[in-house]
Amino acid sequence: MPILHCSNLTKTYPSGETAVHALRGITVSFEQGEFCAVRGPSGSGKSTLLHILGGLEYPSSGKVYYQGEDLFAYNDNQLSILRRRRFGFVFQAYNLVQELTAYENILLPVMLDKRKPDEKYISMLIELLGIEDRLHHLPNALSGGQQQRVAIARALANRPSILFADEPTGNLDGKTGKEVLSLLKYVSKEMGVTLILVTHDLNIAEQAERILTLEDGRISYDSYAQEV
Amino acid sequence: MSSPFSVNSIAIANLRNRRKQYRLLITGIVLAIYFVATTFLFAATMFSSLKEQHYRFVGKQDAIIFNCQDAPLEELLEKGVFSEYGTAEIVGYILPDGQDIDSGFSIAKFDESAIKLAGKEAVEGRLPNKTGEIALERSALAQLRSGAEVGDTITLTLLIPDGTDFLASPVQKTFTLVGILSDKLAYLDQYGFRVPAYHDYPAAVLSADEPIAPGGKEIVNCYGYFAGSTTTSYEQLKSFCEKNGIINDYGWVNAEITRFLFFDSSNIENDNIMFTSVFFMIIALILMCAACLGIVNSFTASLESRKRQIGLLRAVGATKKQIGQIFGRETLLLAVFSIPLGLLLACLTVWAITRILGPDYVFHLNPLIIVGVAVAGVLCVMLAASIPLRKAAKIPPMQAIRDVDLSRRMKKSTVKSERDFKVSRHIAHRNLTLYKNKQLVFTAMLAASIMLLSLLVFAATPLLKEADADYGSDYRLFQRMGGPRGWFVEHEFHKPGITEQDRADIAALPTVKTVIGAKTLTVKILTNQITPYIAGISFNNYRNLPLEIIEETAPELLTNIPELLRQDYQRQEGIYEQSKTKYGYTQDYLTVECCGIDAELVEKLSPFVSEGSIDTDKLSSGEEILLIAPAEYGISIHHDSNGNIYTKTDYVLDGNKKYAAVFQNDSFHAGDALTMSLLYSDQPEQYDEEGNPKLPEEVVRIDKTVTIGAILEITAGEKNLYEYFSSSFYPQVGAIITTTTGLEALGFDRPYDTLSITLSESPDPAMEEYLETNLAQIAARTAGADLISYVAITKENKKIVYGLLIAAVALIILFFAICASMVINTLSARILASKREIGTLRAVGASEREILHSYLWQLVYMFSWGTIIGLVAELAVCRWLAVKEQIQAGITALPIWQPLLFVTLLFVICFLNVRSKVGAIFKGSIVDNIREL
Repeated sequence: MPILHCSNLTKTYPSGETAVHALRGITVSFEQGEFCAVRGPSGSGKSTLLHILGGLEYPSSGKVYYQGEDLFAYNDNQLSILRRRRFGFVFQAYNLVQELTAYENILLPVMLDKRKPDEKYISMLIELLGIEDRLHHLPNALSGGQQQRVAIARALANRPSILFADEPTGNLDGKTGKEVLSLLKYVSKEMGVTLILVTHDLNIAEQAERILTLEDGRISYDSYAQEV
Repeated sequence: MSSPFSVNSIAIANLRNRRKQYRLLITGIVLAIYFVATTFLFAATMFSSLKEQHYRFVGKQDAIIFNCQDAPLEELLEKGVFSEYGTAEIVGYILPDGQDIDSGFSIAKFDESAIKLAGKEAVEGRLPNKTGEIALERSALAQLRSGAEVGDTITLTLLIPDGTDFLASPVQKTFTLVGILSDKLAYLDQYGFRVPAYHDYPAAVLSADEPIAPGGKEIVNCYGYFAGSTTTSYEQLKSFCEKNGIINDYGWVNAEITRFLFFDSSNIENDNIMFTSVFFMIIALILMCAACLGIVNSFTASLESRKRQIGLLRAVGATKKQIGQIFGRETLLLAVFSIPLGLLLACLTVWAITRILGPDYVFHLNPLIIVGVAVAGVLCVMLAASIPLRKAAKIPPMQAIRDVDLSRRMKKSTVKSERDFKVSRHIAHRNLTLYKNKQLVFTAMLAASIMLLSLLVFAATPLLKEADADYGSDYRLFQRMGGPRGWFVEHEFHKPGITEQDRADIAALPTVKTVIGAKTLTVKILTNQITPYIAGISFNNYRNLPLEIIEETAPELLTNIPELLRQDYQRQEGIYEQSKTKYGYTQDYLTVECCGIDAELVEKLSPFVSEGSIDTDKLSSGEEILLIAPAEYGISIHHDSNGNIYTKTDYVLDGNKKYAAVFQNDSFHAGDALTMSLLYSDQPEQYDEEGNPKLPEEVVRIDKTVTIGAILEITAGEKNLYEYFSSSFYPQVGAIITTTTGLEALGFDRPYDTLSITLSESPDPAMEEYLETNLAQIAARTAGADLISYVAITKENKKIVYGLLIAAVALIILFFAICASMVINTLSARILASKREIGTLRAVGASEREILHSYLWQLVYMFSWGTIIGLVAELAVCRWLAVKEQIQAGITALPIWQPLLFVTLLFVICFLNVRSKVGAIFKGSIVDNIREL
């Protein structure tokens, strides 16, 4: 059974008198531990797909199943719990909570779950991501690369099953971007986390095990299934 | 074709696009204009009402020139001093029987202009139009005590002026009373020093062809209306009077300015109009402040949400001035559109309130007032809007676009990472660390509000009690005392006063239940031995015993008294001894007050009897009297802040108080014989150069020996003897009480100095007016008599107290609104600014409850310090006020639940607002929240 499966997903945004069809009937499955890059030109619907798969946004129609359970049958509270326990998110703009230090940002999902943090695991993450010396700074005092590392640590703090990354290197320079991508690949492989990464950069996408290409809200290419 | 692009077009486009968001702002603007207009319209109403009332009381003339029969008055018109004038020719001065010469009034022939200017309008009947007819002012008619009505014939004794004085013999003349005029003399009397006829305001109108008695010469009064300003016209009038020798015996210009002057009209009974108008103005002003605050807040919020637009405009080259113009123009347009509604509401409100308040309030609208009010309203709105506008225009473009302010604040703050935390509480705490300044301001504001509310609550309870004070009667008619009573000789004994007829007339008025009379005079208690108890009485109350007697008998009283008081005593020492010799007193005497009251009231004094019993028959026959002589009393000596000495007497001794002396009654007992001596003179009281009374030559001495029927205490449990007497008699140690019949039997009878009137029911406004008019007329019969309406005082007190309470409540609402808007704005701005963070928290798994809790904690933190500080401070201040006896603490408890209720309500309102704001954010998807702006 795939860890995540979606069938016939559509998403339409109203725009004045017309409507924008961001997704037009997407059906796709992801297996445990796979690294999948979703690419496509701007406006192709790749971010929308990622948001819906991660339970951040509701589809106009279609279903998303996480381990066979319909994601959108959950109420808002259940969905929140699922997100903090099973999913991790890395955004292009880092999206750290500005009032919390880097360390507190990392602990955020654990604290939201009212659990004691696994100090050893968290230390391992921090060491792995190389952010030991910036832990007690507020996000504003960190560079873009450092902020994104903190965001990755936060996404992994609860040992999620799936890591969703939306253009994680989009705001970073080439060198830092590469480092962040290597880290994502490494943790996904080491921890057996499914990594779904949205990018428009072909070089980044080529490093994934699987490439999904979206065009005009439809999957135009799936490297697993070859040409659709 | 392209439409013209200007500041106006941007402003109008903004207004169109943001109609919904501007609802709050528009409401604020309409309200601000409404309240500004209400304030101004009340001010205008107050001004016109006071003017109308002034005209009604004293007439429309601006000045009255007395004794100006030889002056070329037409010059006043030619030189532009007066725009109009009229004359009154005084043909006689009426002296009602038994009254002082100053208490009479003059009668005059008025020309048409003078009638109009002096406001001589008939409230009953008509003005005279032929010889032998007269119209009198209502109080002047009452003074005659004739009971004449319109149509009756009255015979008056007239002093006839001859140009310099009066003719030697008065003349009797008969008139037909054809009309009753509204009172002017009583009000005009407040302006100048009156001299009969030659400097008098006539209170009666005769027909124009009424001849003066043979040998007499009319005295002319001129009533004029100034052509220019008061100062200029008066200076011109002064020159005219000086040039024509119109000056009085003191060398002053013989004219009075009676023009209505707003800031100089306190002598007229206008306090009510002023108080009510100012009260409504204050309320409107407070509400206007609240509305302006609303404008500031809603405009700030509007500009806050458009920071990016401002930044972009600045980035593309808009100057600060242009930014100010664009957003200012929006407010100006809104203000202009809001004027009609605000004005209409204000006019309706002021009109309705003045209708409710009664005919004394005159509401006039004129175009000038409308324009003035509209301009003031717009200015007020623009002033309120200028605060956020100036702030917005100062924002640098990049700050507006990227909100670098927050980054800067964060970089400045020192924070420490927590290893374990509750997310909602931790974020709340961190927010407050980062926004310390706003927290401090709110803490101070909340503490101040709690203080204000508590002080108002603490002060309101005694005030409310006071509003319900029982004065013991509903009306009191009393004769004013000419000055301090002579402790050596009684000079008031034969002065005309309130009569039995007056009492009977009052008793016959509808709803009058009881009329209780009191007659007071000074008598001497003759004694062979001055005891310390008696010396104490003299020291404390009467001070006519020589110092050496007090020093012999009660030396402890004089140990610490200052030199001035000693000198005061010594000055009178000689007079006491002189009086004994002069009037044949072989014994020492103590002058005390003696009061005769109605038998039914005397019977009510039985709880105060400590020895003997009250036998009204024996009192009325003159066999017995009642004497106030508490078993013991203590005198304490105090110094006020100016260093003056004053004494206090306690009849219930306080164990914690230090007394200069305590006296036990060893001097007066029930059943003892007491010799009372009345020593009176009909000669006026005279003083020497040092201010000491001169002992008159012609005196009458009446000695009576009576038995002390009962000894009275001053207090009996909660009751106090003061409650049973009017202000003319103060029950003190040594004072004598008997019945009015008893006074007569003793040969001490004199007119009443007080009549206390109680009604059977609370009068309705029409009955109240009827009673007041009739009682005032009865009071007017006696020179120096006055009427106090406790019905009106109670009503007025209630009105003032409730007015103050309403104003206080409005103030509390204002503070509540300020506090609420501070919190709501702070948190709303924070919520809007944190939209993306809320989205992030949602994305990483925070539920709505957790995020809401974070803001709830922020609220708790914001409120806690202010509440604690406010409560501690208010309790300390209220306790201090109670200890210092500034507020009667016995009546009211320290305010605790009221400030807590205030805080709770404020908290609930703020929380509901925060909940709705967070709820609105949760309505959008997480992606909407976290998307870059």
